[in-house]
Amino acid sequence: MSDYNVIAGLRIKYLSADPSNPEDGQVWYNSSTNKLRVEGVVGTGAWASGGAVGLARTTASAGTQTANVIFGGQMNNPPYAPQSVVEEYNGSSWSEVNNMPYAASNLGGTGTQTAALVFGGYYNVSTTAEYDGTNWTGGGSLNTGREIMTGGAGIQTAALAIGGYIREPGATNKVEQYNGSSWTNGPTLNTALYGRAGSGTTSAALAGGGQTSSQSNAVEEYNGSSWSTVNARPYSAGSAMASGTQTAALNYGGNPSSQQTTTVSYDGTNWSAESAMANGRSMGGGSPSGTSSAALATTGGAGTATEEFTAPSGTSNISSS
Amino acid sequence: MSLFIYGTATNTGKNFFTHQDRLDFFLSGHPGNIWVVGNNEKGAVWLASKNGITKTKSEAQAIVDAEITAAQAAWDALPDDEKTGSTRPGNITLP
Repeated sequence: MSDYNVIAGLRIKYLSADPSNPEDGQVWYNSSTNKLRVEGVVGTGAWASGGAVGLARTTASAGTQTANVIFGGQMNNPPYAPQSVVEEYNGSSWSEVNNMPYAASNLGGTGTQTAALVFGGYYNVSTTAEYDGTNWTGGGSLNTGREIMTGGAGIQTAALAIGGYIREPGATNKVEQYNGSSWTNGPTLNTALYGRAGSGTTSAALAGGGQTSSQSNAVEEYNGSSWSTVNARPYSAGSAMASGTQTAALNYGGNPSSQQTTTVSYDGTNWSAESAMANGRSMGGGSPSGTSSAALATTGGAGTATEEFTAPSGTSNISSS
Repeated sequence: MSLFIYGTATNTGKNFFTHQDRLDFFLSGHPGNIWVVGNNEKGAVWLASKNGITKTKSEAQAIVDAEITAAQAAWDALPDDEKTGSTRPGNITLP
């Protein structure tokens, strides 16, 4: 039998009580209960239904599972009209709020419900708009107008627009960074793709999957200065949704022509399968400032249906058998 | 015994299906309010509790096909410049 300190390079703390604020993955021995304890995910993650959105459409999003906002997009059925409609979620129901300043489909978004950013869209749109939870104001324009670029990485004042589709020539490896007032061209992706699932920050971003003429499972990480290709995602799809960070991310759904229910998690190195959504969807809303254990999937080809992913976490005993 | 139960039910939003439901039985939703449910006691109880109407697999597939065919026809009728920003709905085969 190996010792834990040999495997993990750490000694297990011998404590008379559970620590008050254990970190995810922390292990200790509770001498009062004579139990080996661990903090982290303690149950199986699964998707449950959430409140229905008002308007079924493709969309972009910002926020968390319980404080989310979706903006713009395109109706799922004829006339497929681009939208400026904005809806907010409080964890149980959606409410329509002030429209965004431009109507567009295939746009990108990131941030929180009270500090969101929306940018680009069909057709080679370069517009950016900022939302404060009530009102919209204009932001600096993208250097290259495009659509289906990756949002989800960063916040309103420090965001990335990753890859995307330019009409024409098509998929691009361009990446731009926003500083709260203007966009600057940054290091390019290794692979030109559109519809990548984005998460993280401007110094630790993740771009999963994507597509050109076919669906891709390629994944790249950004460290603030360059992009690196890392372990491929277990499934190929563009326009998946995402939640979390570079080292604890969730990707779900995608593939506009054959909408997926697949859900996978990433720990910074490896991908793992998670419970699938009930409804296939792509180009829907995610939860850019959510986590890998509490995520939201909204509309995006699944009608008005919303789903909430929850992986129960807390402290549990470790069994030796 | 079939692996699945097929039926129609209207998604009422929050708590239409719960985290525990998803752990208790297979569930997938499709166009036309079609739901494919794992064929066990909890799955059957869930569908009944949602006022679901049970269908055979072929009946359920026909409802899905009709929805997809209508959506594809509507998309095909769009002018080319309006097609470029959207994707033609794909076929769905129920499990």
